[in-house]
Amino acid sequence: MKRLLAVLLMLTLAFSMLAGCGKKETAELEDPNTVPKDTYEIQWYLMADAQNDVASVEEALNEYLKDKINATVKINCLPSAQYTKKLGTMINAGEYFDLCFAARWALDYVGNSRSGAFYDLTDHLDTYLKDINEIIGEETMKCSYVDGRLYGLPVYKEMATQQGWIYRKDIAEKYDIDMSKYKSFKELEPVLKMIKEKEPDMKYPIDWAYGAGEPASLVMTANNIFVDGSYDNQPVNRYATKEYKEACEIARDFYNKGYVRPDVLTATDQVARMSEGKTFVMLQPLKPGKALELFKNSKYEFEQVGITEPGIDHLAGTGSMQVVSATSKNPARVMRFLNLLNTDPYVKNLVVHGVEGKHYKKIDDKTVEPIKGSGYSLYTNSWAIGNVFLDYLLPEDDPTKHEQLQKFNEEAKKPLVATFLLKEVTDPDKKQRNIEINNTVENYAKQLNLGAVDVEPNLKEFLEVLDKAGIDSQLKDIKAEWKEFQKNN
Amino acid sequence: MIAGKKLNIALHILFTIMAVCCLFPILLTLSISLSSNKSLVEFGYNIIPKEFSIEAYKFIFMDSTKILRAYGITIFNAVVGGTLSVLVIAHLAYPLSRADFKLRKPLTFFILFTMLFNGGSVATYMSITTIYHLQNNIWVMILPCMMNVWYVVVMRTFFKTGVPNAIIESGKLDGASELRILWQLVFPISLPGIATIALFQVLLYWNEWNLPLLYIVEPKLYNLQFLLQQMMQNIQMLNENPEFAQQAAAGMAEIPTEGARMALCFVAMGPILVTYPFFQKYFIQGLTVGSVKE
Repeated sequence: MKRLLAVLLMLTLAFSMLAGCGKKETAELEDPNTVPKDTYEIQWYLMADAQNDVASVEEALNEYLKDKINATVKINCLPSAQYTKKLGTMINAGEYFDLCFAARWALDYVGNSRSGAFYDLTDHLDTYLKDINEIIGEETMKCSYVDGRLYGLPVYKEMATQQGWIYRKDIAEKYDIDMSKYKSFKELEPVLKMIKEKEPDMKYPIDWAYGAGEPASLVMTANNIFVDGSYDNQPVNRYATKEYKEACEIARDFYNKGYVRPDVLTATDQVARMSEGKTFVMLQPLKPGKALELFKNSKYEFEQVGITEPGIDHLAGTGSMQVVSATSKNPARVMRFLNLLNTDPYVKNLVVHGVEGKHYKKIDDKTVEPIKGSGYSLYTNSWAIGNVFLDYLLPEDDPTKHEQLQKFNEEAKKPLVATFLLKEVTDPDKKQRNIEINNTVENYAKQLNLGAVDVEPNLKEFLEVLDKAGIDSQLKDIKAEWKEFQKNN
Repeated sequence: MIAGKKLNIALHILFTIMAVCCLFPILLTLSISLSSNKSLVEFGYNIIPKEFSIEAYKFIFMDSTKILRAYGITIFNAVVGGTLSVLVIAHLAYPLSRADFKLRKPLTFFILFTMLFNGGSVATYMSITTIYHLQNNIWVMILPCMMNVWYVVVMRTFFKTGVPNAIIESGKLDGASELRILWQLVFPISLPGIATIALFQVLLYWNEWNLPLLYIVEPKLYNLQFLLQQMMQNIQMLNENPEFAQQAAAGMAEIPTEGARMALCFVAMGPILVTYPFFQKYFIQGLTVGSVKE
C-alpha cells in the first residue's frame, strides 16, 4: 500500500512539473507588415480592479485591431491579491493564456522565466517588437534580461528612482522651512523637534514603514553592492557597515524622542495618516509628480524634494512588465499587439481611459476628463500596462508630467549593478544557506530598521546569527559572480 | 443544594465573561465602521465612536450594484449549495448506516481515502478547469464543497444511533420502497442532525472566498466574502510589498479607509447572524448525538 502511494505521489509530482514546463512552440513566421487572414483572440490578464464595462472597450479595440493585425482581445482584470495566486496556479497548471502582467515582486518574473513559463522575446526585438524596442533603448532593456535572454517587455515609464522628502506644504511655509536644505535624517532633527513642540496636531511629525522611508532605506544596496559605488564597488555585508548602524541608531533615537509613532512596528496606515494631515514628512522613493499622485484625495497640499541622485535600479527593468505566455498559441500575433499597445496612442488610451464619449470626455489634445460612474478607468493602473508616455492626462495632473518624466530618465545614473542578476542557485547546501540568511534578515532587520529595539545588543546578535548562517560564503559567491559580470559588461 | 447554587453563580459569571469576549470584537467593528476617518487616525479604535459618521457605509454603497449583486450570489450559493449538499450528504450517509448494505465497506474505504489523500491544488485546478470547464461559472462555488466526508461520518452515526431499526422494518413490512422509508420515516426523526449539518454547510458556503479567487475572473460572479477578502488583501499587498507601493502611488491614494473595511465586514456578517436562531433549537441535540462514535 505504502509503495503504491509513493509511486502515485511521484507520478503526480512528475506530471505537475511536466505540465508546468509546457510545450515550447516556435513562433509562426508572420510578416510583421501584412494583415493576417485568420483572426486570433488574445487572452490578456491585467493586474487591476475589476471594471464593469470591459465589453465596450473590447468591442472598440477589436474593431480597430481588425485592419491592423486581425486580432481580438479579451481583457481580464484581476485585483492584485487574486492576481498572483490565480496566475501562479494557471502557470503551474500549464493553462493556456496569451499575455499578462509580471514583475520581479509580483509573479516571480525571474523564477518563472527560468522555469520556461514565459515566451522568449529576445529574437523578436527587431521584428515584431521593433518600434517599442527602439523607444526603450538597448541600455534600459538590459535591466530586464534573465540569464542573457529577455522574457518580458518592460513598461516604459519612469525608469529611475530617487529618495526624497514628501512633506506638507502649508506647514513648511508657515515655519519657513526649506526642505531641500536637509539631506539626511540627522540634519532634519531640529525641524522635527520644532514641529513636535509647536504643532499640537502633529504629535509624530515623521513616519515610516519597513522598506518604505526608514533611515536605513538610504543605505541602498543591490545584491549587497552599494549602488553609489562605495566600498570599492564590491559586495559587502550591508548590515555590518557603519552606514547601516548609523541609520538604525537614528531610527532608535527618533523613536525614543517620540518623533515617530510608538506603534511603528505594526502600523500599516502611514499614508492614510499623512493624508489626514497628522504627519509632516515622510521619506519616499520619488518620481516627478509622486506627491500629487499619492495624496490626490487629501485636503492638504504636499510637496516633494529629492535628496539622492536619481538612478536606475533593478526595479527599472523588472518592476512592471508584460509577458507573453509560453502556452500562447500564436505568440507572433501577441507580440504584434504588444508593440501596438506600446506605440499606438489610440490603443493605449482605449485600454487605459476607455471609449471616448462613453468613459471620458476630451478636453484638449492631451487632457481628458473621466466620466464618473461610467464603469471603466484603468488610468491608475497604466504603469502596469504599457508605455505611459502615450497616455492622455487628467485635468489634475501636471500638464508637463511626461516631459518631466522624460527628463528624469535622461538625467538618471545607470550603475552597472542595476543589470546584475545573481545566477539561479542549484546546489542544495547553498540554497539552504541563502534561505537561512533571508530568514535571519527577516527576523532582525525590521525591528532594527524601524527603531523599535535597542541597536547595540540586537545588531550584535543579528550579525552573529548572520555569520553562523554563512554570510561570508554567500558574499564570496556574489563576489566571484560580480567579477565575472564586470569583465563581460 | 447550596454548592449547586454557588456553582451556578460561578458558571454564570464565567459564561458572561465568555459572551462579552465574543461580543466585544463585533461591537468594536461596528464602532469603527461608524467613526469618522479623522477620529480613527487621531484616537485609534474606541468602543464608542468619538466622532459619529456614516461616511463608511455611504462609501461602500456608492457602487451599490456591486455589493447587491455579490449579496445575491452569496445567498444563492448558501441556499442552493446548502440544500444540495445536505441532500447529497444524507443520501450517502444513510446507506452507510445500514448494516445490511453490501457495499458498505468498500464505499466507506473509498470516501475515507479521499478525506485523507487528495490531488493537491494544481491537480484540482486542472481537473476543474480542463475537464469540467467550470471556471467563471456560478456552480464552481457550489459543486466542489458539496460533499464533506466528515459530515457524512457524523450523519451516518446519527442515523445509526438515532433511528431505531424497528421503524425501518415496519416501513418494509408495509411495503414502502427504500426511498420512501428514507424520506417519510428516517428524515422526519433525524431533523436535528440534518439541521446541524445544514447549518455548517450554509456557513461554509457563506464564508467561501477561495474558490472565486481561483476560478472566477468575471466580476459579475464575485461573492460577498471574496469582495471583502479582495479589499483586505489588496491593502496587505501594498503594505507588505514596498516595491509594489513604489509603483502604484496613484492606487495607494484610493485605498478604502479603515471605516469602510469594517463596514463591509459588518454588512457581510449581517444575514448569517439572523439565520442562527432558526437552527439553534436543533443544534445542541444534533451535535451531542452526532458526536457519539461507534
